Amino acid sequence: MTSHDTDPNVDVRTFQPLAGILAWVVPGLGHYVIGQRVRGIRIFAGMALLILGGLFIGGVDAVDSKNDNLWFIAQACGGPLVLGIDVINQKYVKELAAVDQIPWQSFGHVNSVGTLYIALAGLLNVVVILDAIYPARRDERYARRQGDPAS
Amino acid sequence: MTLAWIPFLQPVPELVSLWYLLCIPLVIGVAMVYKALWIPEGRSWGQQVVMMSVLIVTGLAGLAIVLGVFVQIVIPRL
Repeated sequence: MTSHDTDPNVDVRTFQPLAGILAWVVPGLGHYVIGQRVRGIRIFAGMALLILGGLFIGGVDAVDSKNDNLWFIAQACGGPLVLGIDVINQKYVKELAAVDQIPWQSFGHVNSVGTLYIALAGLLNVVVILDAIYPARRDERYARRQGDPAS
Repeated sequence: MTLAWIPFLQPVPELVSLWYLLCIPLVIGVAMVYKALWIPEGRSWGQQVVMMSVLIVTGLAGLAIVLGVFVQIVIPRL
């Protein structure tokens, strides 16, 4: 890591399982606690855009562990917020009478796109979790590729 | 139904005809996370995100044009 952007008191080369767990609980928090604070905030912003965007488009029906169970596997990697959305969907929305469910259900492209937003957020969070568990010396590799000998 | 819409809980109404435009914020979100992981913290992240987003959206639009021409023009002539 370059010296100006990482807390020097944190050894980013070691195995960091706690950072991985925190990265699942709140995307970006894992990087934040290992000293990569700007990176953590950027990750959080991107993941918030994807998850909240998916909810905005598809509503709670964009997360459905019963009808879209394969998608839900990917979505669940996005953290407890996604699991909570599924609980709301299964326990409250699906329990309503069929007519009352209509305003809560998304159909066609709207459902597909909403589901895709949150599934992509989950899959990206897998990469984020792995990166938080094994914080690589990525910045040095990046600097070498750019031909920057100062880093 | 539109007046009673609850954002983030119920699906956004009247968006079906514009569904293809929803790829733009999706691409921006993916670029934000990807570049956050790849770009060093001191570097210009926003500029890289914009560049990656424009490249992906341009690629998608190009692919859509190619497939559209293929389906609408080439296949009917076969």
